[in-house]
Amino acid sequence: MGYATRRYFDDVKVGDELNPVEKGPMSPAHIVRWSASSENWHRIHYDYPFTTGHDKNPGLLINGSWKQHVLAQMLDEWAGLEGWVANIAFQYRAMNIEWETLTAWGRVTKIYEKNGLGVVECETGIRNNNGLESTPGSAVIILPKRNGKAVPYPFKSLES
Amino acid sequence: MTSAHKSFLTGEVKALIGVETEWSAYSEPISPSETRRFVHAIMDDNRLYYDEAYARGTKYKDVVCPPLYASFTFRRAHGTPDPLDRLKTDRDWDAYGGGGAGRQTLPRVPHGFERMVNGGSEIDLYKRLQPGKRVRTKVRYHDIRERMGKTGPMAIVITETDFQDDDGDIVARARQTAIFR
Repeated sequence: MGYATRRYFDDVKVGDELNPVEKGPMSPAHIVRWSASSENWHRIHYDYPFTTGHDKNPGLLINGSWKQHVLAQMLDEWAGLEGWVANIAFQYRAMNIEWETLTAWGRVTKIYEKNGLGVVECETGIRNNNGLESTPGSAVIILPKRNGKAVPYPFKSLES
Repeated sequence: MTSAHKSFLTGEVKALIGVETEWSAYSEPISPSETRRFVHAIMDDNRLYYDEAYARGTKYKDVVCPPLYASFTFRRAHGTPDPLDRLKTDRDWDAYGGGGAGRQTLPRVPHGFERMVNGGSEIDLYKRLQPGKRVRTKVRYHDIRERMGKTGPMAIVITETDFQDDDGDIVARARQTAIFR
């Protein structure tokens, strides 16, 4: 997608929803494409007899390492080119398998200013097409204020 | 089990907090083709990843890799033993780690637990990687704690990895929590 808008801290409110990012349905081809790209040969992601028989999984597991990039895409697109995603945290709590459609979502939980920049804290997650939440997490996004200074790049830390 | 629980958190274990490795060797330079395959797989067609003219007009001045790219820059080197050879004699092996990219190892924490659960990840981001850049890492024990869970004591081990590009900038710092019980 890319960046739809230039976002300023002044326009953000607690409770705002981030634009969700949806991927899927995730076929076996989509799952193995990630395994090949990341050179991850763990058989639970592409070997159906192994994952269901040997490891007793419900199907081909969608990689956690793939899911984190869906969160990152959502956060980065919302932050926009002038913003910066400074921190991403998540836990893998539930499995997702082939043919599920996954949606990354986020919601603003706290906003404050520090050293002339806007700090936006969010709760985040990944929900499948049955409503199962698999990846609870949080994020910190730095935004410029309208008529304020630019978010430095490379980003150092809010203390500097 | 009724015997009193003996903490694994001895002085020897506490002394491991802050212990870190040397810097690793640098990765291969990130290739545009590797980035393209990666971007195809995560299905994120942001022009910043391929449109040089567009990227030049941004603060990045050139095409960049996706935000969490750093930990995917390490690949198995030419001429190294093939980890998948193990499947010749062990067909029950799950091939976990079969990509074989060498990561640095810290001294083992002598906690005595056998089951490990992924307790989550947290990543601080400072800079985007770009094709052509090389990356190196340094790993440390950020924290080692003990917690009493429903089924008994657990060891919480948090490792922290710095990713540095060949400009000398830290691009990301990742903390991984492993729970042992």
